Amino acid sequence: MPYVPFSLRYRPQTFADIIGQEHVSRTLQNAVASGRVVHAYLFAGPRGTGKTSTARVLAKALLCDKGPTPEPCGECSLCRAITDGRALDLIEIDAASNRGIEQIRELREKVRYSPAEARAKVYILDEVHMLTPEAFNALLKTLEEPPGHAYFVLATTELHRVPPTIISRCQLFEFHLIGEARIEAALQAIAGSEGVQADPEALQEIARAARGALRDAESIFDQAVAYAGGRITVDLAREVLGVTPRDAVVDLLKAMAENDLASTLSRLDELVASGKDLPQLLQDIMLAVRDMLRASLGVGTSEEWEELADPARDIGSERLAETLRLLGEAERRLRDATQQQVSLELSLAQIAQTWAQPSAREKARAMVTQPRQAPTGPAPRRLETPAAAQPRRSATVEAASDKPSKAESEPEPASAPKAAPSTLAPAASSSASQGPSPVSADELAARWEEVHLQLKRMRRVAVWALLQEAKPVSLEGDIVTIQFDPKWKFHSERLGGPYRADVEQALSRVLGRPVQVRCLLGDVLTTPTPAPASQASKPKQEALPTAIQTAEAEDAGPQAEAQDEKDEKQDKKGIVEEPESEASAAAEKTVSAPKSPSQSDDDAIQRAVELTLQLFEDSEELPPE
Amino acid sequence: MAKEKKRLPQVLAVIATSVMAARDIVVSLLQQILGDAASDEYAVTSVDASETGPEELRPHLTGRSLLAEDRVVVVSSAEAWTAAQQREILPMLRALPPGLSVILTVVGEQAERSQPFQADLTTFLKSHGHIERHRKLAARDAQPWVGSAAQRLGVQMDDAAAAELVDRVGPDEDRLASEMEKLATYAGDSGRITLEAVRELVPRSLEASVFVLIDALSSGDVRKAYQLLAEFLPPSGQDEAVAHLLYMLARHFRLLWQTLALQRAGYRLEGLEEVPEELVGKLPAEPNVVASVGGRNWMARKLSQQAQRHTEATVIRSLREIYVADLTLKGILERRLPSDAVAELLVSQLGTLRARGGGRE
Repeated sequence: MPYVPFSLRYRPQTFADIIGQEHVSRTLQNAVASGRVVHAYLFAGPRGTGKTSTARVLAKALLCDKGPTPEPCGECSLCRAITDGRALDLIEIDAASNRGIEQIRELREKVRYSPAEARAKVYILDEVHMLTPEAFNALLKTLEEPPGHAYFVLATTELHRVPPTIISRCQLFEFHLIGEARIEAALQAIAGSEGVQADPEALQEIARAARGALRDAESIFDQAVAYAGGRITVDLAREVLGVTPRDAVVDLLKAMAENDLASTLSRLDELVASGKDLPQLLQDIMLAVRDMLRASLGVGTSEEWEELADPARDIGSERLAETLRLLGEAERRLRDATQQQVSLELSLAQIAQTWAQPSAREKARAMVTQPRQAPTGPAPRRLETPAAAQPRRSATVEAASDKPSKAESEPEPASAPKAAPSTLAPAASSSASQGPSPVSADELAARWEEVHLQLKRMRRVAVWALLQEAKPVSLEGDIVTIQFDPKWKFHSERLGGPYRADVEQALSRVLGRPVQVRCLLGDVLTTPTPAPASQASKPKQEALPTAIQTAEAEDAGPQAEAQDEKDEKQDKKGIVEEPESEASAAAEKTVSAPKSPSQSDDDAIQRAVELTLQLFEDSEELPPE
Repeated sequence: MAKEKKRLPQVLAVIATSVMAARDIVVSLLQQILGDAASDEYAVTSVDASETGPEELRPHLTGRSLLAEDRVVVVSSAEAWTAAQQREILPMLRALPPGLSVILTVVGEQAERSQPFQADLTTFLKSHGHIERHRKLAARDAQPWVGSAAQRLGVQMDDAAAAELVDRVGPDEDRLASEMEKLATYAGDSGRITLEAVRELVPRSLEASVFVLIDALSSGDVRKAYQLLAEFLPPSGQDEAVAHLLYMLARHFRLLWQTLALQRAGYRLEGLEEVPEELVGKLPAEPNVVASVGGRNWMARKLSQQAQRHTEATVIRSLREIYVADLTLKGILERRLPSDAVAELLVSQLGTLRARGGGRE
């Protein structure tokens, strides 16, 4: 006797057997019981959720010798014929392979004939969305006025491809995905019937992999039974599924979230050593990150990746959205790479770095509030490179902590204002106390190419062209000096004049901090020496945009995020409570004429965020049209 | 008791946007014309004008039947006849034998036209026949319609459930009737249609889903937008479904763009008849906000409400995001994501557009 797969052997035979579609079963049973069966039904929903099975059970209910009955006997000749697939009056048509008008015309002709053995005829048109428009039109007439003895059940996985005219002539039922627990229970029942021993975790793994489709779960289970030859363990189930062990992906992502590159790479090594297929691993990571993104947005996450919900909220939707893009790019690179592991290692390291760095919003806030932490003297700040930027986690973790912040615990300069608790204060003061690593002129020269690239990204092509003739000379405090050969007077004048802001913006982005530019034509200064940006007397109104430009520079995926906004509110609160120094108060006044200090802060931050986002827009690269 | 026949003109036309309404009217007319004989299969002949030309109809319109004293020929999809065919049928209609009536029906979109018939036929119907026209349900009448349908079906339905049903289906009489029938069947012995039942059983129409999705996105409710995505996408993330979602979103934003353009010119969607033809002609042919709204007040109102939350800049920015998503989906960009991830990314981008200040003017 030929082998019958589980999905067919355990196909529902009554309405009670149909899992997860109680809304459909109940309505159809009531319809049969009350004689309110309509002549055309449309079952729509994902594959493997019971559309065709329900249609067959409905056919039994209508055609059963003891019916029409909501509970077909399953024993009469008609019920048995339907179960065996040999009932003359249950006509199943695969619309995917009978999609033309001729086939539908033929159907229309045959519909008129009385049933052969039952009281009615039931037509099941599977994958009905595959019909041609002409065939749909031909079907329309039949659906409008079907003979009294004919019932139609149309089934589709793609409702949007079914014309509205057809939908409006049918009673539509949407089939839902089946919950993991119910799939697991169904598999358990099959295992019991078959005398197969299976670990609950193995069934859970299969249920998860089926993603709501019972038929898929049954097929996978079938494979696992055939493969195992004995007890089905979770490892065996994963082997059959070809998925990366969940724990391994969780550990890998946790290591990345902690910016622990060594651990990240060693976990990747372990996976590779265990023979894991790298493209498949990348897909698994993508799935996990997608769930993390959902968790960070508060949409809820699947049980599978529950452990990653907290890191996800910590990382934030902004970075996670960016991560998805990076993974998308990684997938492309992986396909072309001769050294796939190296390619994946680089991608993961890049993502870990993205997660460790502050987001655009955080940076904008930090920059806006920074003058408060060092408001007193004109002493120039040391340069801060992106690599030396305060890691995101230290800021957020400390902010969340109940312990006194570093700003509170450290002695303050005599002239400094007394800092009130603020989510940003610890990061800023910590940064200031450690001191950013300086960028030497040589290093600036080494990164000169990046400045060019940055200008291209900003689409400032003219500025980029003019800058070709310049060379970086020195970096003193916040001032970058660039030099032109005397024959490039025009270039020097333009870059020192109307295009100066663009060059400053590009430089600020590359260096990760606001800087200003002066131009030399030979040895002659063509621009006035700007005042140091960090000087307290510098009006905040001027300082803001540059600061924001810097903050925006490294983060190409700004996403509003609930936690960020919450933090932002807390930040604002913290700032408001902070007493003003004379210098910063003066700076505030230049921004606007606020009614109160808190209003002023709010406005300043709002303006800062707006400018950040505007700058992002200006510099965004679109693919070529 | 025998049903009484009424004297009606021999030629009648039924013009209805709703299939069910048209069917009800035809049944009612048959009963008026034929009385008890309305159920006599020899008394009623049905032909489909899209499959039967006037010449093939001639035997039905000229001869008498031995089996029925009075007869009615029902011609469905009469608008399918060309103007020439309609002129051809006219002499036959003018010379119908006694006891024979003809009902011409026009149902669906064609019924929205003010004159679905050729001019001579229209003149004849007005002077010697009778036209039964069933207008589209107005948005404001949808909920009362649901209430009366519940009464007819003998079920109770509270206002919240009725409102939810209208919200999901829109003022589409056929779909409302179908959903009411389904809900009443589901209610069964309980005799009560609950809000939960409506949510469980009634899928949103795709058009209504787009409106709800755009509402969520415009208000920055990314969480809700994510949940709504499930209404568009099968779980396996088929490229085609995502492509369709992108198409629907792009189409909707283009409609919003046109709405804003009309508003800027001083016109409202609720008063489209005031918009000069010249201005309408400048709008894109597809999608065209004037054609899309048609007489649908609910759509006009919804689009106007949504337009208030947008500027041209936010619409353009949204379209750019959709464009990038489209390129990603097709693998044209240097990144490749599963199609459902593309949709989710797009939703998170569009949902945070305002927060990110995207498209500020």
